[in-house]
Amino acid sequence: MEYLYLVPYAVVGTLLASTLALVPAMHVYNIAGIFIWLAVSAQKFIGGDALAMLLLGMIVGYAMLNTVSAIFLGAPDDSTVFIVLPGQKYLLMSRGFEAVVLTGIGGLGGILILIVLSPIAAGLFGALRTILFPHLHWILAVIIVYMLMAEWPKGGDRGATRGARLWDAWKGLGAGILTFILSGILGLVLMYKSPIPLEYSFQNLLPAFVGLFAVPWVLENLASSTEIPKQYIPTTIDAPPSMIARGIFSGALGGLFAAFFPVVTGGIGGYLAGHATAQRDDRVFIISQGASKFLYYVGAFWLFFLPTAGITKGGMAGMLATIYAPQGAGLYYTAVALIALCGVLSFFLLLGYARVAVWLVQRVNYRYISLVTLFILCGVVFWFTGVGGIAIMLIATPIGVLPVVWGSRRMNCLGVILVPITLNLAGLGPTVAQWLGIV
Amino acid sequence: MGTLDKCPYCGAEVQKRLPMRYVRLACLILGLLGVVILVYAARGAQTPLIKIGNIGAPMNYAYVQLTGTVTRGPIYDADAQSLRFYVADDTGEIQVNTFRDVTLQLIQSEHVPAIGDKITMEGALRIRDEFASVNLASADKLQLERPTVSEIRLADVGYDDEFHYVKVRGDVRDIRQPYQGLTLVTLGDATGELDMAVNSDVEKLYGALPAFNFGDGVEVQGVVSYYRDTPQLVLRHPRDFKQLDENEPVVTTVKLGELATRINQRVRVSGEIMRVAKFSQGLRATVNDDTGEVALVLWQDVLNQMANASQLVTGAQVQALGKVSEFRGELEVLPNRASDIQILAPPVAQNIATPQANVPAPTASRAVTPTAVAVARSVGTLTEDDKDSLVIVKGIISRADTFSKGMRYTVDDGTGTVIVLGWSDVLEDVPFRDALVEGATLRVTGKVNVFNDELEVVPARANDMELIEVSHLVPPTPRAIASLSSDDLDKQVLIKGTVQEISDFSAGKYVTLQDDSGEIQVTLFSNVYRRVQNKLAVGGTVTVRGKVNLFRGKLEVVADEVLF
Repeated sequence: MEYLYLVPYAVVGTLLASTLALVPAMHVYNIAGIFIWLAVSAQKFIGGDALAMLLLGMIVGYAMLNTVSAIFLGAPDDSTVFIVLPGQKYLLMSRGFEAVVLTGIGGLGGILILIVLSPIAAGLFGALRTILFPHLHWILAVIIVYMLMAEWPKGGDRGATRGARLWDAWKGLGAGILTFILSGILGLVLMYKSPIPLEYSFQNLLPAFVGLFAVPWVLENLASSTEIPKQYIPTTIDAPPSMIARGIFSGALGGLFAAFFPVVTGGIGGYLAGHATAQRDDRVFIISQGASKFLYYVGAFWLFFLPTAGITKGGMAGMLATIYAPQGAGLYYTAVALIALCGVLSFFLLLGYARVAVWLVQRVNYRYISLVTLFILCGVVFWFTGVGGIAIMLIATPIGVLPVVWGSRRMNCLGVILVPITLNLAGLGPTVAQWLGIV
Repeated sequence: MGTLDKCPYCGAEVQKRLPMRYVRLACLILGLLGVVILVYAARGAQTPLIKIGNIGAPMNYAYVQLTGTVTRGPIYDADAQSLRFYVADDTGEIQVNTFRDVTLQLIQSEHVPAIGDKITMEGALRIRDEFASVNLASADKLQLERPTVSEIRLADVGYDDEFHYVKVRGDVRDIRQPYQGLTLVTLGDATGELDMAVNSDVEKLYGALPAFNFGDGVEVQGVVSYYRDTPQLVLRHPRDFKQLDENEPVVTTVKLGELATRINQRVRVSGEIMRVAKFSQGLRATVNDDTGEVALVLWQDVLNQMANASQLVTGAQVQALGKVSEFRGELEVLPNRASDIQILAPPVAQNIATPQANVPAPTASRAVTPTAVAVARSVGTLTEDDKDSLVIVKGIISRADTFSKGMRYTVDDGTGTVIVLGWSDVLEDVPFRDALVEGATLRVTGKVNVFNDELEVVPARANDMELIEVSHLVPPTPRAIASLSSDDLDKQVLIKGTVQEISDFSAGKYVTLQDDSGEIQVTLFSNVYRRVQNKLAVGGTVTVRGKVNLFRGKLEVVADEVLF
């Protein structure tokens, strides 16, 4: 009963996030950053536990609801980047609502996974951390190599000459590797000589991520003349229970992997899980991505509350950890209960907001929505990080457009965090930075 | 698209389409150019310099430059290959960490920061739960400015010398380990004594110190730091510790006739013991070397440490190292520890002198069997002429004060007051000891003594004390710690709080007690501590009755009693 007073904070957080999740490119970490920044000076007004639960409610709401803006408004982050393609395919088939619901079902499955794991999580993840973390740089290096090597040469059967055919096959792959390298250099510069003011260092990656993921999508929407067909809002879902189970299982693997390992994001986790479970069906894929991103966001924050394990992963937990440390098993189980409560609340909100989004795209030209989204993106970046952030966003945007125009994976843009952190873990970060002359 | 002007699939205007290869090329060029420009701009940019006090939670992961002085460390973990040290500027202090290759590079290049060094460094801030630290990016990003050394006498070390690199010479007077990882070596010269702190991490990094023994003369270079109010010299490197030639003694042997010019200095004296007299807190031996006489005052704790204290008798040849002081017009030499005293030649005959009238120190005998019948007397009738008489007095305790060896009860029978001196070994056997508080009525059989012109009655055994009536006084309400002031000096007070820290000193324990208003140091002499040692613990709540005292400029309470 002593933690009952935290319920309203979590619910308020979910309601706040549900609104903000609809704003294109308004990442929950940006909002959390503002809240934490204010909380540093206003800690006497809202205690540590209450702030933590408010942020928990926000992350749950965001994790469930950010699909709406990704699918309907074309503004994904790294965790929803995989949803957008099949999601927009569904949108063009008048089944956008159904795609959103499938991700929501994946999210509900994620909640179930967290509840089932909660009694054993402290021991399990604590032990895994002790075993695996000394070898983290090797694990990340293997992930990077896998990401790059798993992209096979495409085509290669068009071209008059061998050279032309070779170029045709490798241009996409080459663009992917170049994207990875360029984004990696960008990440190194942000780590050692960021042009962003020191007071906003905790948002160092915001302009890079916006430029690498969100802006290219918006530009692509602006460049195309796609008209969204009339959307159908079904009363049933075309997904049998076995398919749902497969999707949740696959997504849970990827999401928990991303939640646990430093640097690994939801996109990478979902990608690895998809390969590991060889999913072929779009429905399974969308459900798995829903579970993966939910577990990535919420799971990382859930690990923060694990008693004795002390795992801080993810931007939200990392920011909160600067001013607060949770104590005790009581708070942990309260967090699990609130995840379930807010998750279910978010699912119902998802259904409502999806209907609103359907109404919106049918009445407003997709290009105008994209244009407004672009202005919001620029505004958010400027507000948080100033002129330096705008410059980073402008430099990151063509890097993010490379995969779009060359046909390679957008996931290669994650080099912006994978490269600097893997190098640092291997003790090579400063060395490489010195080679570049930035340190 | 053939003859179509508009794509039937995506709706694009065919005539206005831009060839994709131009878009691809533009993205490639812009992407490469953007990164090149960014790297070029980053190379020219300076790493921001910040003050430690300005670091806040939103600066997590920021790459910054800091300058300051090393105030603690280095702390070296060979298993994790990590180094930790603390840097302070005028706004605050921060922990600096190095790992693996950076640590190895610093060690190999002998560039490990030590206390007193001024440094400039670059690294990434890590802020967790409002605790900030910096991870050093690389060994190249650490610039050190080693301090210059200045020679100083031990007694001259003061607050102004904090973090100064100094050179001192002294004899090794004491070696002890307060806890694992720290060795304190007490050095003494003619002017005073100072502890040299040797951290085991220094030895792990650079090797062990050269071997040394008690009494060896050494020259040490170290940085002055303060542990609470006590100055100490922190050794930075084993090479800063050198043994002196035996022909260069730090403390010279002085003839007793020259001691008058050496007051407050530490000297070595030698001579023959002419007289020995015990007093309440130790032993006083008069030493003569044909040029003069001096009193060698050995406190009880020093005597307790001596294995051959029984040889301190008339006729023994003795050498002692101690501070020269003057007490009631007479010169004294006060050694600090047993190792300061050496018996050079055994006594020819043993003869313990009886107390003499012109010896200023009190000489109460603690193990006296009354040889006469005890006579009941009123306190007001006792005079100095009754010295050594066996009396019985009865009265109400008006005050109870602790001292290092027992308790002093001020007993008032309406005709006057007298001190009843309860030695610890006597009080230990008193079953109603805890009831001997203000307001209790007590009857005591004991010998009359005079100490500092005050009359005392000294019971010889526990059953010489009889509790007639317990105290009916309403115990006072504990006072807030912050309310204690210099106006309360020597007054009995009652305070209550939570134990924050317990630390040792030579005669008992220091306890830091905290309540809602503040905290204060409480001194528990061994006799008081022994009674509560099984119950006293950090975090526990206790009530302390004691006397307010001023120690080293700070208020403290000397506990008479600790209640739970």
